[in-house]
Amino acid sequence: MVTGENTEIIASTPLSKEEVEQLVVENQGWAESIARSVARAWSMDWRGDGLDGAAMEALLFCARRFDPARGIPFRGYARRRIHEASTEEARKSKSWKTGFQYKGSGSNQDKARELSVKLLDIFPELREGSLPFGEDDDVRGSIRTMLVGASISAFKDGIDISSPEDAMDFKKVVGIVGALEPIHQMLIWKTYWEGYSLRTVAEDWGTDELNVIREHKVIIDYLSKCFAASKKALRPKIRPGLRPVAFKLKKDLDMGPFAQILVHTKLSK
Amino acid sequence: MVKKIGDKKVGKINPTDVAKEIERAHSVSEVAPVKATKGVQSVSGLSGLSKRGATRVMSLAEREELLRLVSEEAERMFPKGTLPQDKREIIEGAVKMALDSALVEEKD
Repeated sequence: MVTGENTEIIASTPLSKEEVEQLVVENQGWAESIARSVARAWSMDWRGDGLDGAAMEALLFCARRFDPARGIPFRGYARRRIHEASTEEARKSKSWKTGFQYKGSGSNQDKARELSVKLLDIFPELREGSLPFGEDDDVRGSIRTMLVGASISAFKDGIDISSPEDAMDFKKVVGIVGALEPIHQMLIWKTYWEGYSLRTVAEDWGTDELNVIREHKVIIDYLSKCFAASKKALRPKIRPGLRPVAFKLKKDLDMGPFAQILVHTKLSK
Repeated sequence: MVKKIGDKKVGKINPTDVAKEIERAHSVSEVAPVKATKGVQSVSGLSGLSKRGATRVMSLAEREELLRLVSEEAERMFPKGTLPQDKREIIEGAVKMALDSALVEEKD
């Protein structure tokens, strides 16, 4: 730590101590409102469950590391981290562990809460206050994407194969996704089963991120139609930008991961 | 008639004049009006787009509307008989919770 006449500079921070303090003071109310939002969504007490402290710690952490020279506004830089800190604290709290049962609600609410945490990881834009894939102001499209994502994650984690009802639902989902092109199965697998972001999938495949984002949107639209079973949807084709990847995948894999589940379990019978 | 090389010999080379002064630049007195541009005829392909597509920022003011849309879309996606009621509740509830946690009151 270097101490000047009136200015103390914290090691490895681009801002002086006074500037850090000023950032914290200016954004304290905003950070608290993030903690309150998380508490509201999960019916918790933002102070009693310690979300206020977690948000403040994250705010201070971000203020110390904020570098204005990078050209990113402070709130744009800090929002995701403060949201993450608040959700992490919420999950550690007693209210979370006791669950909604304690408040007289059903266990479905507890399962929904667990699933919502997964959605925040799958769609990190939410932590920044944005709708995922909200291109062209398509709010309904974003919501459908989240519903499909939640469905796939719910089937993945909450499945009780000994229950005939669950087994039927699982078979339906795996059957629909397993009928897709192997590259499309792989995209859904990596995103919802393995938790990769679309950006990481694009990097793995050595292709442009927009190719993967747009392909994902087409698949989600298709899956939402299939889940609704209202009309027969046309199976999506592979866009030209992804054909080299699809060709390579086909060479490496006999079939897509969901088709493999169908073959290797009794579900196909 | 074509002159032959060597018809006229170079007698001497005059010295070049040295610039003695530079005239002061005059201030701009007027600018001609900008002419109307023509419509863009074509745009070449996008390049260097490596970031995720545009996202839509939500506000707390639209909370009720967003939550209503979630219920509406869940009903469309999972009509009666396609999914057990409790599973639909979990999926719909999770989406609502995730969205709600992202809706922050923006104040200084």
